Amino acid sequence: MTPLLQARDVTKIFKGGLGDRAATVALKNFTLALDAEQPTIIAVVGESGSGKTTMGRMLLGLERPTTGEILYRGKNLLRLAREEAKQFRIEVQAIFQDPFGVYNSFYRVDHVLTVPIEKFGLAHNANESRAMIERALKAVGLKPEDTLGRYPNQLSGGQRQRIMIARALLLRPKVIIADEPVSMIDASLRESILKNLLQLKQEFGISIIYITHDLTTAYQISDSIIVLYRGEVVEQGGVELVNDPQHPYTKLLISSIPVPDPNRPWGEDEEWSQSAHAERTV
Amino acid sequence: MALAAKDIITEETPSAAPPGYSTLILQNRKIVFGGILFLLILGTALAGALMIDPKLRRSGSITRKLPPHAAAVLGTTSLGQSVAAQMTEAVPNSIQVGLIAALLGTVIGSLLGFVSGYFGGWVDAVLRVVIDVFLAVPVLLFLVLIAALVRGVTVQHMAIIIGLFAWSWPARAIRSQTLSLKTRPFVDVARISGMSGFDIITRELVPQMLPWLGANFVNAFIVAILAEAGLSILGLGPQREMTLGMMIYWSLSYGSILQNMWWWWLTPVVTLMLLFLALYLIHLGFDEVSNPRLRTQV
Amino acid sequence: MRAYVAYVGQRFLILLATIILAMTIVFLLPRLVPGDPMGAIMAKLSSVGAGRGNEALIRDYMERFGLNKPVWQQYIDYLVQLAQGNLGYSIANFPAKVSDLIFTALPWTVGLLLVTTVLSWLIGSVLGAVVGWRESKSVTIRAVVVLALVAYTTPYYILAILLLFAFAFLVPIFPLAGAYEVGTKPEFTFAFTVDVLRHAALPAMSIILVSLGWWFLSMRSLMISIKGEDYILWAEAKGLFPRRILWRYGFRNALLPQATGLALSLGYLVGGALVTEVIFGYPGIGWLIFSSIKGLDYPVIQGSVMLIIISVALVNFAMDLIYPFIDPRIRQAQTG
Ligand SMILES: Nc1ncnc2c1ncn2[C@@H]1O[C@H](COP(=O)(O)OP(=O)(O)O)[C@@H](O)[C@H]1O
Ligand SMILES: [Mg+2]
Repeated sequence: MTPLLQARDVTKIFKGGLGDRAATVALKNFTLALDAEQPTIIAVVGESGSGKTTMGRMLLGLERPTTGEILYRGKNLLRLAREEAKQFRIEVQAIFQDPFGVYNSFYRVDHVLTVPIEKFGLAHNANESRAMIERALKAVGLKPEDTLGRYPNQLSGGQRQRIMIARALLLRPKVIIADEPVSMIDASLRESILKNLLQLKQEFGISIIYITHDLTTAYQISDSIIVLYRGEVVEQGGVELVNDPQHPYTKLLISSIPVPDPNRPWGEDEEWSQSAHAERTV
Repeated sequence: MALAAKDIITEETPSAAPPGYSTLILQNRKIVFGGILFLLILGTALAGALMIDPKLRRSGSITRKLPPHAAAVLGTTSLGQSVAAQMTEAVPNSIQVGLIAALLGTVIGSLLGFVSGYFGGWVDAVLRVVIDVFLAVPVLLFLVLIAALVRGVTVQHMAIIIGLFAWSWPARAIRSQTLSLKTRPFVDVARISGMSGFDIITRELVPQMLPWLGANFVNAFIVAILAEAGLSILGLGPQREMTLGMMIYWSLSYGSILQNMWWWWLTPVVTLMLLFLALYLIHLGFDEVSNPRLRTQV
Repeated sequence: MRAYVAYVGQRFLILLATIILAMTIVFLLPRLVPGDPMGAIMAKLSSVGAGRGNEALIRDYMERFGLNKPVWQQYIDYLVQLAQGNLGYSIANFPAKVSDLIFTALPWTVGLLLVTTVLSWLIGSVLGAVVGWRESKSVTIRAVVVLALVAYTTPYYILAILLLFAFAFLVPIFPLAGAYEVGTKPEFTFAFTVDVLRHAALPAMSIILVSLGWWFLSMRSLMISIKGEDYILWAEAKGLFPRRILWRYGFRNALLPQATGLALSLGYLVGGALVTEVIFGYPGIGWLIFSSIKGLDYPVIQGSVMLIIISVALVNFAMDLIYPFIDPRIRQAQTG
């Protein structure tokens, strides 16, 4: 069974500016296979500059690997036929870090919702399109009448990010690559956005590659974890690895978060995560 | 299916919608003032064309070398033409040259700039060299060559010749703007929403750059009028039609400065200056609209 | 070092492309423009003064344009001729060589442009730096800024006409036209030098005033933006004297974009200077082109245009070679 999305020995090198200025190896020999039959959340954790975003962008086909290849249903992204490319775009979606920059300030927020429907031909008429949009917005806990017709600067960061989640959901993708979806969101709203993500998996069967620099949230919602350090995978495994880290970098990451009791999974005890959160922000 | 009600977060949100471009443009004093001045100049010329007998444009139609008086409010030339009558033809013609040339230049420049900036790769490498070459070359000289060959140019010829060489600045400016805009996250969103490169350029980038394209257009307009007058003064203008440049050419050829016929040379000169002032103000205004930070600087 | 070589290679490519483009356009234009301008040139040739040298002229042109040969052959011949510095003969002033006419005119244009460009660039940059640094909103400064704006938006030739009217007609302190008094001969005497300067004053002033406005404004806004940069704040924190900061840090860092502007504006500047020469009857290349246009002397126009385009490209290339030594970022790449 070919995986839905696969990275095979992918390396990305950014050339320095003028000629031979030091090149950056953003990602090195990265391999990943995502078989989306069973919805799962894979967290990719690492400090800033460790190559997480670069990895995500390559999986989305927004950036070309320097060496290695990204495969969609066994086929290299660069060689997809027109119809396959469209299918790939529908099945592999994304949520980005900056909930403001993703909006073109010229348009109302509706724009990001109507464009994919139009481009992928998901609705037969305006009514159907409108209904789809409203359903998706409601699914992420937004009131359509409060959001549609507004300009991005009229909404809060949390609302804007939820619209992006709704946008992804609209396409019923198999996998969503979420690049630090809460790092630029007001701290008080992070939990609810993360819940939205968890809900995508649980209710809609969507797999998520959750990119974050924050091991706590990774531990809270993911099934497995990949730890990136300077472009290289230093640790990889089920979410339990947090309890028994092998690599010194992972240990360092863990020791820097105040987790009272890592054996208690998140989501069952609301108070716990609230207190952990409070400690983090002090 | 939806989240429970308690999860619906209602945050306080900034309420005002951002002003649209039309509002920003109408609120910009420079654009409004420049626009009014421009329309005044053009309007006066058009109204004059209705009121003044076009025959007075011909040589020998009126007493020569007269200062402004009732029959010729702007005086007469050494050839016996009414300066005012000439102006009613020259102003619309010069504006026509500017308009056509600026349109050509901006369209060609946008095409090259967007393609070069957005798609990159070898297309960009080639286009960059081409753009750089045309930037470095004194374009007026190519115009001199062409105009020297095409004898009996018309106003439309001038406009097209100038326009065909007026794209290098817009191309360069649009390319660099595109380079910076295309790294913005909304372009990524557009890409994963199934938009093609062409879609992204026309539907995502162009709207972002509208005021800025406007500034470029007005700039090309200025450059074109400048080029027309320059070519005309060099003796390459439309000999059988009147433009502001040709009026200066004729007045200089007949030594109007030495003969103290100030009304002859001063009229087109002042009009050109007012036209520049108007266009330049509009240009500055568009610059401000596209980049609000500029407003604090001047 | 490798970065520098790659960079120079790229700029050289642009230089080469410019020269080839100029030569090709000059070659192709007369063949492309409708209305048979080549025929007109030949007709004009045949009508040039009777007898002596007439045939030689026509033979030269038949050879140059080789109209019976295939176009690529014509092109190669043309390039070979150019490489030998052969620009052919003037039609209006036969048997003068085009290259001789150009070299008589060239010093006047080069001198005028060089002096005016350097002066306006220096004065404008220094004034702009000082005014931008002060950031004062006083009436005088505002007036200066508005004045600079007016000067910069005024086209060269308009200013030229106004100056001509004011200082050659109304208050005739300067001569109306020419580069030196008619009847005198160019020589290196004090009197002649003064005469040349007097004649150059108005054309120079009109070019300087216009470009001065531009350098002033761009330096001023560069300074204003540089003032907020970290290294300035750092220098201030270190307690350096404000004047020292202005020149050592601010001015230096603004020089590069300012120099880039100079290179970019050169083409525009040259075009402007050509028209200015016509208005002042100044015997440089602009005037040469102007009189050739009147005399339908296409070979001279062609030669002058090509020469100017190539010189401008060369100057630009030379500036490109120097930038890396002003620009700290590129310098770092070389040593590091
Ligand atoms: N477009 C780019 N050009 C040059 N270098 C880049 C580019 N994008 C990322 N990098 C470099 O690659 C490395 C990894 O960046 P990134 O993938 O953004 O890391 P992360 O998302 O983990 O913070 C960084 O050193 C960054 O500077
Ligand atoms: Mg990142």
